[in-house]
Amino acid sequence: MKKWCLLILFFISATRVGVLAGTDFLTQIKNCYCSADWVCKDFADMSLPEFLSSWQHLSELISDERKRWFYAYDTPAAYQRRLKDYYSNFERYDRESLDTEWLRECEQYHTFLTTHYLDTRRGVIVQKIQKKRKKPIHLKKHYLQLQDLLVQMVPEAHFSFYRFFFEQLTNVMLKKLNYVYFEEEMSLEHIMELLKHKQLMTQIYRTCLHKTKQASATYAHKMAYHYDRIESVLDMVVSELLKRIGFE
Amino acid sequence: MKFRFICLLFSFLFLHGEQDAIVPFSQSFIEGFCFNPESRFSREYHPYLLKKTKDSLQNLEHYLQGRKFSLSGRMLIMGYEQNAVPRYFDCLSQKQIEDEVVTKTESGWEFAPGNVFGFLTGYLFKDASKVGQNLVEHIAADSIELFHEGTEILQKHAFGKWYETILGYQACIQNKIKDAQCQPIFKYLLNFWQSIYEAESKGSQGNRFATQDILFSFYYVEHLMESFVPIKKIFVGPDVSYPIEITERQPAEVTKNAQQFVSHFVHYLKPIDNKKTAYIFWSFVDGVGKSTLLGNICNWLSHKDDFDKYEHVSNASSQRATLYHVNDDVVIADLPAQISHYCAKPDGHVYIDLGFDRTLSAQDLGLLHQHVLTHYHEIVAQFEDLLEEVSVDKKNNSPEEAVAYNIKTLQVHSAWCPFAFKDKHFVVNIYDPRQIRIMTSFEDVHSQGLKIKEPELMIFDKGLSIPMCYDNFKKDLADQLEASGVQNVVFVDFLSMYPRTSRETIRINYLLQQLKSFYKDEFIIDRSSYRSFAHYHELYPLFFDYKDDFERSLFLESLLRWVIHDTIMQASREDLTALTSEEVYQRLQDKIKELYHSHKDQLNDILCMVRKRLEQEESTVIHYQLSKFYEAVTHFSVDRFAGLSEMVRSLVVQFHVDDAVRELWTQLGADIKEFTDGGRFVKLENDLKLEVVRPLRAYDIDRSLIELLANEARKTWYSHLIGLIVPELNEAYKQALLVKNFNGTLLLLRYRHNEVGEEAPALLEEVRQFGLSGKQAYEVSYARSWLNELKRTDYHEKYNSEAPKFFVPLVQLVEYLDTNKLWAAWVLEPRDMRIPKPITISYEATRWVIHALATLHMNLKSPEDDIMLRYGNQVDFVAALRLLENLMFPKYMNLTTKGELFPDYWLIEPLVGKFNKKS
Repeated sequence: MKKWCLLILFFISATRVGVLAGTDFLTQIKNCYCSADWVCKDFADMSLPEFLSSWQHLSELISDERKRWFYAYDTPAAYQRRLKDYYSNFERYDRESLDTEWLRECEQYHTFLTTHYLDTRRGVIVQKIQKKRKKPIHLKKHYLQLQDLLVQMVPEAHFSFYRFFFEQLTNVMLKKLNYVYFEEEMSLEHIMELLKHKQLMTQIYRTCLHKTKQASATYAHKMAYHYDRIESVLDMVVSELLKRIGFE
Repeated sequence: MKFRFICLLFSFLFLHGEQDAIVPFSQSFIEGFCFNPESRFSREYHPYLLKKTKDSLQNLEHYLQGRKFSLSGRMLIMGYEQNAVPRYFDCLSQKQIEDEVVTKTESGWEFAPGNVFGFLTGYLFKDASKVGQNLVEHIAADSIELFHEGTEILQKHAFGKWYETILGYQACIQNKIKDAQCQPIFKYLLNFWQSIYEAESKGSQGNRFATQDILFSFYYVEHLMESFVPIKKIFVGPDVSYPIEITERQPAEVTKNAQQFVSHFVHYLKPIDNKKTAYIFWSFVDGVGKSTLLGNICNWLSHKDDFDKYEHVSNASSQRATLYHVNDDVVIADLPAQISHYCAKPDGHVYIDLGFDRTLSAQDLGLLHQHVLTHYHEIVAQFEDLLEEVSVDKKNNSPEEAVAYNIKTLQVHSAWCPFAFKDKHFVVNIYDPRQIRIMTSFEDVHSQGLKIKEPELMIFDKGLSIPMCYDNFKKDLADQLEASGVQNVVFVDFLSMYPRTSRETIRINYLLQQLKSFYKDEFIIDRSSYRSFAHYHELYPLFFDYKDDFERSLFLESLLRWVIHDTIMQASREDLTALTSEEVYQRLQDKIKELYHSHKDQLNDILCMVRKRLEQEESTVIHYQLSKFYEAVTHFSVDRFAGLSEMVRSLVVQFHVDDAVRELWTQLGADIKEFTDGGRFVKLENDLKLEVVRPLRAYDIDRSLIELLANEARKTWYSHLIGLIVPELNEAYKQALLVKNFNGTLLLLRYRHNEVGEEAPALLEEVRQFGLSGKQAYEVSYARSWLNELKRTDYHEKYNSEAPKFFVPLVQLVEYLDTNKLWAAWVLEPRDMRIPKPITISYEATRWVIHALATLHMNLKSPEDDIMLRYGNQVDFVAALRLLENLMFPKYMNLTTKGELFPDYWLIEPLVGKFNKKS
């Protein structure tokens, strides 16, 4: 009887460990157009090896532009057409909804990596969210944040995701800057939103630069250059906007 | 007697070359000298040489006309660097030409200077192809992000306050293009270039648009306007003559503009009037894509668009004209850059990134990486031994010895370590063993090799190529054309505006090596304009801290530039020659000796010119002393940061009232025993476990890291220091941020007690926000309003849009407080804050806390701070002591003292770091 119970338990746990886990992850994620929300829920149920392998698949997916387009937006026919057609960059970026969508996705993954921890004693992923205006959480030493775990175990995959996130974020910021600059109805809220983006950009930049040092070596100078530059564009536009609404 | 006089005259005329020209040459060089870091690669272009070069163009045209060739017309190629203004969108994933070398300094990244004026020139022609005319053709204009509609903000950012002006010029030139009029187009161009050069124009981030390299464009266009040979066609385009070749780091798509251009251009290579025609490829300077376009044409003729088969385009343009037969009726004559008739052309080897190499197979690469990983320590150890052994006098037999010799002579801290593997020679980066470079000859190297900035990685073992006399050169060209049956000549002028790094880097590295060989201790690279700059504000110390060395470096540079120029002129013969490295060394040495012996007066004149030039420039640099970057990042020291950590710990051990805290902090002083948990933690000798935050290496320092360290360390150390006199902060001592040395590496470590969990009290938050600075402290206070007003008025007036880059020195704030009655009243007003319980604290502890806080602020600043305590400045330090004692403690902490805390504030030295003598 005991043996049967154990077998049943094993079966239940085995089916619970991620619909997307295993080698089919890439196929599943493409076919289902999974949202980050759904993928992260699945990540949370995975074992450590499954999570690491799936994260690597995910990073490969978003690093490969062709797959990325397919995954994010296109029907297979549109994807085939895109392979042949030439799109200028501005035509691509006019499709703002796509970028915003990607930014939202990246934010979800980022939140997941910073709020979930591996309990190294039990080998399971647990969630710890710090509530606003409460004392900071201090976890036991055997809890390892998933972001730090990726840095140690699969630095390249960790960096590819954050590199992609950085680029999406800066693209969206530039487009929003352009939008508010020419928008007569522009308000202080728009500026505050941009400043929030900037805070996030700083966080992402530092993660890339300081956490994944080796993996980011060939990109470090590029990111430093673009980070400074986006900051400078933001300063230029915000100071102009503040002047317009009488703050300076 | 007569015979002696004739001998003397003969030796003066024929052996001394143009010795009397030393003064005009040096004057032209010094007066035109640009000090900004971007000018590093363009100082060769001063009027003395430019004038000579321009005359040589004119001379050749007349000569060919005299030899009865029909000069049918000219085509102009104005390529520009697409990446001079890198893409704003898709900044990381977009594939592009990436051969510029970026260097990491101990205060950030030094980026290669893009040729912005070339890009702006391209912008002026952006709509050329939109109007029906045949004169100007803009190749691949669509590929430029900034030329698109809807990019106004990006344009405004890239062009800075020049945005409107540039739009104006663009409209004027577009009108003239419609009319297909060359002369007015050139006039507008000259006018535009002159304006941006003379006004020292900059973009929004302070990057200069134009350096001295714009000068050759002036002279070249002037020549075109004066020439009798008519212009038939003008091609403009981004990187249109870049070498098309496929390497790991250069896939085919990045050279698509060059592919488009070559496929188009070959149709223009036709015989004129059914007579055999020569297309003469010539240019004013090197690095304009002349030989590479020729290579692309040859490849195109053989392989069309099968780019995988393209062969490497040689960089070794001959010093004599070379003819290429396109077909029976067309030849191309490839001429050396005109300026190279008067400049040094050193030859040798260089180390380049493996990604640009085509000689190693994937298997070789795998073996190489494996070898480096397994023998890394051995390689480093062998090199250190070699560095000890190598002698300045001994001839170097291997490239490894040559690199060691260079490092020793140049007195540089190189990040590269040479080694040989399977008969090839490499260097590996000691900070990141995955970065490996391979040695290649200048002739065969990818264009990245011509831009390697580290002088120690160039080995000039093939000496100097010496051009033939110009008259012989002209005759040789005409003879070759005649022998080929050419009757018509079309000039193809390369007025491309690419970065000068491609050719000038070699000359600069050669110059530095020679300067260090002849003036070993007199010329110091780090105190010359050839040091590395992570920010242009780092010019300040050269003008004010190392003034004498800087002056000397410029003086010696101008002498040696003359000596090299004169040596080439004297060595120039009827045919091409080359001088070996030893011959060059001997000739230069003799000439230098002679200069000091027989031209003392001229040398004094040159020294006066140098002094005058430096004085002129000082006023444009002096305000960099208030640069946030220079103060917070350049002045940061990893060792002093470690000193601050130890200062805080020892004060806690000395003054904390709780025995348990003192005991714990004494234990935290123990040395590291080992790493644990896969490097996440370290164990001390007493088994305390600390988390590793990060290793601290000077090599990793940049603005972002300093910001991170300053915010985190100040926050923690403030709690620990203030906590010594405010008992409510006892919880703070359950955490510590420490810097410790382990096997020669500094590590930033965090200790956290098991029961830690309290937030810092509100009181500390207020103190932190006061914290003398902190951009994030937007709480409206009197100090903040004063600061905002000061920056909005005085600073804005003095520094315009650059005002946010400068800080206010602390002493200025204190001086203001001293004289302002409103402020005094505000200080005395009670504050609505939590009042700590009245307690008695030791005066000694209070003194040490104030002393340590001032030390902390002197050594650690965030680049975002608006008010700063300058490093080593005693006036600021004393101001900080007074401010902390008289304002922060009573106003924010309700602490009052009887009388002054220190008997003499001017005798207090910082606990970490030291005062500058000057302050």
